[in-house]
Amino acid sequence: MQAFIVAERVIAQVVKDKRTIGLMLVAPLFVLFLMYVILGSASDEAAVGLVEPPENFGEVLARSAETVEFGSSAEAEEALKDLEVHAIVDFTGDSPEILIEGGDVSKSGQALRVIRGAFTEFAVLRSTAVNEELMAAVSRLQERAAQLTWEEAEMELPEPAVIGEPEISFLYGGEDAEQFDQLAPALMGFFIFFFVFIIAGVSFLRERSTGTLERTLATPLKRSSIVFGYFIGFFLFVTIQTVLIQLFIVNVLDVPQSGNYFLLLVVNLVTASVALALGLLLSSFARTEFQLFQFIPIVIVPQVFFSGIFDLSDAPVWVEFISGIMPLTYAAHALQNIMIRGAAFTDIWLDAAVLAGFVGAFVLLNMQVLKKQRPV
Amino acid sequence: MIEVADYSQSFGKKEVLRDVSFTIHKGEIVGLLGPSGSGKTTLIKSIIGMQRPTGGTISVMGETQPTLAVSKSIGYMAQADALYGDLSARGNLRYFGKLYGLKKKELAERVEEVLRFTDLTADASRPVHLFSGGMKRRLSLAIALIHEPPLLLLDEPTVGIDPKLKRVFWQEFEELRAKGVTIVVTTHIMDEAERCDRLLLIQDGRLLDGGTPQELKDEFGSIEGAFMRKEGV
Repeated sequence: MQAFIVAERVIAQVVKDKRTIGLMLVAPLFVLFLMYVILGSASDEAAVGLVEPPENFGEVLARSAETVEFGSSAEAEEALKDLEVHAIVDFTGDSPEILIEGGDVSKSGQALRVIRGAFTEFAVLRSTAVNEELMAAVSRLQERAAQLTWEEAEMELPEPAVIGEPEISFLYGGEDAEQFDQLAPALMGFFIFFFVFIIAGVSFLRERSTGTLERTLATPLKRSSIVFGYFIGFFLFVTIQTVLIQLFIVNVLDVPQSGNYFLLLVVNLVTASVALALGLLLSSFARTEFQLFQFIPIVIVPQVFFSGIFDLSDAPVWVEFISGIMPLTYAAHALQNIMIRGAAFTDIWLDAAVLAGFVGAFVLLNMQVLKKQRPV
Repeated sequence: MIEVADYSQSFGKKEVLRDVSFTIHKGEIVGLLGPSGSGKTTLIKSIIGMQRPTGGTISVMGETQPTLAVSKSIGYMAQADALYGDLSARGNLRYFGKLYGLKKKELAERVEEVLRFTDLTADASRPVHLFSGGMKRRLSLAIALIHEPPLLLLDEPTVGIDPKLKRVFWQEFEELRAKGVTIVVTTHIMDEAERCDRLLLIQDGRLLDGGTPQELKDEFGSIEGAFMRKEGV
């Protein structure tokens, strides 16, 4: 019950501070919107220049890239230097030659991929055509032979080796899934972690430096009630934050959401608890707000790299280890699985358990630190 | 009310108080007199139970400190104004009142009563960060009184306030004493010391002497004289 008294006060303080409220509720939406626009505006279409392409090759390539046809190799190379195209396929020699621009890494890679794909598809087309021609030639031969011998030639004809167009379907998401859809759940976790860490850390630091923490501890209040009071108070704001972010990314930014909203809220609350307990703990190692902010590059920034925004499947073992001790790794993993893959609690309980473990450890450490302020 | 026996306190290697013993009875105003850094605040904090004595014992109303058992009976005014600037005066009072276990009706009554007592009723709804230094001191005193504690520990309650307000504070302390409240007040101002029933002189972590202001004056000529003599000046 005592924890609720502290919670009520924490809530009253945050509500009276308009900037803090704005920072918690509006800033994540603004940054998410920026991310959405920036990631959506990057074009992955590469332009490929062609010189004397064989029949059909141009059409095949045009399906996955912009194509420009040039009259001569020199003309095409000039266009490549001016970055009008990102690669050239030159058919003037005995075998085709591919020249890649190489300066724009992502566009060059994309160009190489589509050119290779076009060649494969072109080869299939050609072999299908050759197959058909061969089959026709064989039939003609059969007819001729029958005329010569007055007898039908016995001959097993093989099935033509034609591979049909493959059918593509997605287990999760769809063809128009964007990069942002994958990032959105992880970013939500990050924002909640970041803002709760900062606001709770600064609030607690102020309580320490103005003496209100000591004054509060001089009352019959138990140490644990202070920490839990902060938890309850911030749960309210994290719940509002979660609802706002979800409404925004699903309805405004059109991110697909195939999971359970309640489960998302649970994961967000556990994530916020980790950030809160860590913020309270680190605030006791800082004398000023500036010193608290110095923890951000050490504690917060590295978490961004491990929050599912970057693919770490090829990372060395020590990076995997660091990733393993970052709370946001588990938060992002769970949130992505819920939103993209519609995971149930049985799929994410391990992530939730690890996060809860972080909370427990940090709360215990907080109690130890508070013991210095009040031994009983 | 308060029994301090052979009490010592050190932080790491630094010894702040050594072998302090004294007794404070119900209904007296006792002044802890000593220069800055002599250990007055440390002594007050130990009496509240904010730290564990490294040597000896401190007991308050029969309970050995530190314990949460007597926290409810102690009103504490810290040296720095420990107030929530975002909240109003009433908000601060309600918060601390609830922490001391006051229930709805009683809480509302006590809040208005201490606001009147400290003459803050007119400003009760304003956020505290807009308050002047003197108003903040008054609110700190109001918070110390919110749960009608039988024991008041006031750490330099009159530092930074004007002489007029200082007089009002002391009138209030005397009113409370009349109701049977025990008050321990730290100070280094002599005219305040003279209004105490009894003085405890502290210097460099030692309890030098104790007695009524008159006794100290008779023995040393003046209260300042007591310090001079003991220091061997």
